[in-house]
Amino acid sequence: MLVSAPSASMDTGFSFLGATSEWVIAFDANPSLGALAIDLNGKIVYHNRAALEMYGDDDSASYRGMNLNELFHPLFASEYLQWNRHSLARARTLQVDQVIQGRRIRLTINPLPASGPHSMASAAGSSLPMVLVLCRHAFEIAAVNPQDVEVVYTRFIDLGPLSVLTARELEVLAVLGQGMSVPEAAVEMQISPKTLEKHKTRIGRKLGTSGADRIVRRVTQLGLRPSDTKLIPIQARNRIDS
Amino acid sequence: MSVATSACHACTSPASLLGRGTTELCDLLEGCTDISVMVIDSDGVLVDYNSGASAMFGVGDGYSWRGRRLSEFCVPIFADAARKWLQRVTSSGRSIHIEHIFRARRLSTTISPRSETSPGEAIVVSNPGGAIVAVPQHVESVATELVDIGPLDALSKRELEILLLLGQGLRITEVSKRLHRSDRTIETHRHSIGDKLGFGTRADIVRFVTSNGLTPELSRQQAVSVLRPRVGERNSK
Repeated sequence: MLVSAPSASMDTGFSFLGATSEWVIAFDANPSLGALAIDLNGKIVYHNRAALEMYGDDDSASYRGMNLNELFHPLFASEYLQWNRHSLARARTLQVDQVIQGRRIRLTINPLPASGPHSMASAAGSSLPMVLVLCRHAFEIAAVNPQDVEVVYTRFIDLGPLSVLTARELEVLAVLGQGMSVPEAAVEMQISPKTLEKHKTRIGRKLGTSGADRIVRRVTQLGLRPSDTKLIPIQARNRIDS
Repeated sequence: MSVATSACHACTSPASLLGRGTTELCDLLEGCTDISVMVIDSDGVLVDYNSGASAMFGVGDGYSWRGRRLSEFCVPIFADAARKWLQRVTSSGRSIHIEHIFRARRLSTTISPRSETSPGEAIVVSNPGGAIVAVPQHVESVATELVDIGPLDALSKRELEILLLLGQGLRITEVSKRLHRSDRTIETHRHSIGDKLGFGTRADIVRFVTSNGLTPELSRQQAVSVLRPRVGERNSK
């Protein structure tokens, strides 16, 4: 269905980013980079299939025409909308990481010009300014922060499968995941190595991930950082009845 | 005029005037240093690119690639392969997707045709990581044998094999069993890997291998250095 997405977007007369839909074709074909165009009011004007995966949906879903506050928890949606508006107001690119289903995704929020000879927003049939949001799994150890980009931070964390852990266990997981040994992690967290071992065992039982290196691997894949454990847990996605 | 446009020198270059829509997006994605966006024509001439392309392919900011051929930067075997992909896309109008290893990192690259305005040009978007959804039916998946392991070429074949296995989170004993070697031999190799690449612990290895999406079968593939050596030399100046 959505496999034929390029033609689907042309069917609706949707021409996005410039006079033609070449970028729609490029994003629709891309299986690793999520792309969404969201207007000033939070309405999702365009998205590709990878964006669905980023937010925990499969191919059969569609966000098109939906508002961020229909899709997400009100607090999460309002934060998202504020970033988009901030990006538009300042005409600046923003970078922010979200954690969805326990997995870090990096968003780059790019303002789209609302007018001008090659106005992307007007080409999309929207009279409202829009942002182009690109998202990808962020598992790089040290990502360089680009110049001219404002880095903002989320207040929330959607733990997904990690929500079986207690707050303390989550912290232990994140710290061990950075590659610290048990004694090092115990000093870091100011608890006894014995207590830490107990947490580690329980994490192993709950997640099926045991052994220091397997924990490092899992945490690296998720992109989980110790600072994330201070965020407010939230279930980011609303249930959508289709 | 948007900040995205004014922030980029691309819009002032003559080549970019040929493809304004594209340049608009190359400009727009100027802030994405981990996403490479390039516009390349079917002869392999680079029309436009963003900062992500510079960061990923290792050319400094002060050095313009616009109007240059891939063959000037890439070894012939890679430039030829890339030109074939570009020609396939521009002639068929179908996008292709390639998952490849470039400088010891898994990249996902999608090559799409540009529209009527620039029929001989393709849009090449690369980002780290593999595909997260199935490649769409209308997109052709292309395999490549060209594996660029970058700094890992300092390792012996055996060391590379061990690095990749340890990197999956396997214990020393699991690796030694799999390779029919003693634990001590694996440990010795592990130390040698650490010395060569600067990994102090096994966790460093796991983080490196995992975050770069490297998998064990890479040690059985032929390694190629994609960029010509002198690009790196220029870059270091």
